[in-house]
Amino acid sequence: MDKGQMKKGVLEMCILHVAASGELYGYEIMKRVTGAFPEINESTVYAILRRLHADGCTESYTGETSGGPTRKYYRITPAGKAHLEKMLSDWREMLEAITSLGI
Amino acid sequence: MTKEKYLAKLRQQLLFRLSNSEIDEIVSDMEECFEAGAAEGKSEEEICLSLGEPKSAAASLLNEQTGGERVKTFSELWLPAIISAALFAVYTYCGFEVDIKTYSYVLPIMYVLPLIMWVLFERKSFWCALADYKCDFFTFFGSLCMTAASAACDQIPKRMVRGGTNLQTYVVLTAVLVSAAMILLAVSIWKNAPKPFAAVPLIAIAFIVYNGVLLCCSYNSWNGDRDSIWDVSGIGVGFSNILTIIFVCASAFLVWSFIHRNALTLASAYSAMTVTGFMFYWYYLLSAIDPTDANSLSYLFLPKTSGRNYVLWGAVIAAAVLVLTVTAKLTKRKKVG
Repeated sequence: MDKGQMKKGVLEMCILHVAASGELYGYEIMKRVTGAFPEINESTVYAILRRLHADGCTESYTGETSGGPTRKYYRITPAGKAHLEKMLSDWREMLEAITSLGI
Repeated sequence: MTKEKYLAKLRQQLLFRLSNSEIDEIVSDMEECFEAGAAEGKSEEEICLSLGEPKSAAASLLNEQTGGERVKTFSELWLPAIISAALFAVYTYCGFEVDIKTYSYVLPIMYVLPLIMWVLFERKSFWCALADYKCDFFTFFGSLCMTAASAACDQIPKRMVRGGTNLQTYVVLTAVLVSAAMILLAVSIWKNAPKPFAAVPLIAIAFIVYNGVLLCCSYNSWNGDRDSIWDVSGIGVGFSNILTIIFVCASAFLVWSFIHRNALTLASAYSAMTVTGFMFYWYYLLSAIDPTDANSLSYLFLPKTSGRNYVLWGAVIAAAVLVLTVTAKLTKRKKVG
């Protein structure tokens, strides 16, 4: 099994899940995801986030932090939500299948 | 590593693989990461560490961009270009310094070698290499014919000036190869390019400018003396200068296309450059003809050498391009409809 591909799929799901949890700027999303996967570089997360954005799963806008500089915020789109739902459902199915085998 | 160094390295890794606007956007996002990290009290060194090496960051970005396809490394990307440039340099040197009779078969091969290098390294034609241009039968053989035509054409003035055999063979070969290249490349553009017709006017302009300028300058260019070829091709002659300007513009266009990874303009510029080069040699050929010697006219395969003939040639080519464009547009409309 291609470990890299599997991890990338999981990361994609996690990134979308984090993005769905609220309107966050890029660095926050990267930090949250790498917090859960310390072996992953922030740039890897950024690359996937950028691709998801290009695919229309997220949209961005420029907003100001409280008293701070302007930041690029991301929010999940309806297409992104649908994609996340599909990935979560696939993930749960796979997990059930693995559990049923007693692994 | 400092923020500046990190961003500069990242930019370098992405250069020529993504458009400038995409690179600017990525660098701006990364700058934001540095600012956000600094606001949390992290040092630039720590932020660089958490982002990962610029090379791996660039690889991730490019991999995501290309849908997981393996991305060529910097050296893989540039090696064919460097080898090709070196071969061209050797060729240019040999073209003027080596005895043409002895190396008559080596030189055309050397001219085609860069193309072969591209094919070997990139597994597709020079024309579409680096530009993610879809390579099919038409692109590949069109490109091959164009380069081979340049090689054949290059032999004509050298043979006329320094002597040599098979002059007429090279003239015929050039004409056949250019025609084949034009047809194949036109079909290729039509089939593959996102905006197929944008390339055609550029090629047409090159032809029209050539013919227009040739009309104005041809009679002033030669005095019936073969040795005058090199005089008229010197800096003082307007026609030669204009062609040089076209060639320089086409080169600049090529660089621009290359930087922006624009397949269509790259293809157009390459065609325009080759065509301009081709015209240079026809100009030399014309200059070498002795108007008082009827036999010398056979080199051009024209009943007589006159400005009118060149207008006719230009008109035929322009008409052919126009017909091709209109036909392609109509067919496209039909397909869309």
